[in-house]
Amino acid sequence: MNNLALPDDTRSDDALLAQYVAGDRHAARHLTERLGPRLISYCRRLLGDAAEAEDVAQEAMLRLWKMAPGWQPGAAKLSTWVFRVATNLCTDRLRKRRGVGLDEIAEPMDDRPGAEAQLLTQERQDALQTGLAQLPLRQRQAVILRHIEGLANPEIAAILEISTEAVESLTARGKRALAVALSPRKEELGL
Amino acid sequence: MTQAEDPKADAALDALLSQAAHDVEAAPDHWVDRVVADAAAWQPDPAAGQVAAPGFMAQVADFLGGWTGMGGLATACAAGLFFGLTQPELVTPTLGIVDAGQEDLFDLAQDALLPDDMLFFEEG
Repeated sequence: MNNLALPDDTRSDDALLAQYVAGDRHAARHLTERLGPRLISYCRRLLGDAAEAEDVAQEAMLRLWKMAPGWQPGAAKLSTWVFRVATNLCTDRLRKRRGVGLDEIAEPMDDRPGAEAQLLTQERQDALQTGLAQLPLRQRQAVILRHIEGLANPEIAAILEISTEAVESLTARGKRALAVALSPRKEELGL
Repeated sequence: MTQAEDPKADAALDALLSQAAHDVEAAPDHWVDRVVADAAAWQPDPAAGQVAAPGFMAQVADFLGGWTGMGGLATACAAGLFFGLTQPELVTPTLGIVDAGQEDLFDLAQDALLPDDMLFFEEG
């Protein structure tokens, strides 16, 4: 996973959480800025809605603060724990949303100034989001975690609470299904 | 050849996913502020929330039933040492007192019983 924390911040996630528990207010901000971007991005890919993704990511972080005093450093990877919580929260939201058609799920907004190349890039990413939304939930989660978040299979297995073999199967089937989903727009998107 | 088996399409999909992987923006300020506010609300107070760990002797005392249990154990140890170290002839008078004490107790019990009870004991 890419580390988006400040370049001079070499403290581990565990160390930051321990400092938060010890009363360091800045540690919480550092940890939030480190985990936040990927967490929001992951939730947005799963949910297809930016505002809802922020709510879920905030809830996952809130659960992190609540359990912080009992955290056992080294027992698990902190980011894996947060992603697992976010995955479960997104799953709950999507189950409650059952019956809502794919066309009704908002696509990510982009208000950046649009040169033609940027527009094409955005169209491709929107198409990718639409394709991801058509995958079964577990395949979608596995494909996003493997191919977009760049996590290794054992970590994905820990997040999804399945075996690494099941992760391999899900990502392979998910990627095939994604290719099929995008095929009608292949020429249009320059794929 | 199916779409999923087309190497060109597969490479294009990899490129699309790779682009998505790099397309990560910093968390919005308003979101960071909300999360940090949550963190502050749930941050443990080190001054109020921490209880000093009990010392070794306190842990031993707790294991043996508290300080009362420790007192009883010390008394039993002292008595054991006394009987172990004392010569037998010095202990005998003590036992005599114990015997006398038992007879006194028997007399007291006799006084407390009703006459019918005493008759029962005498008849066997």
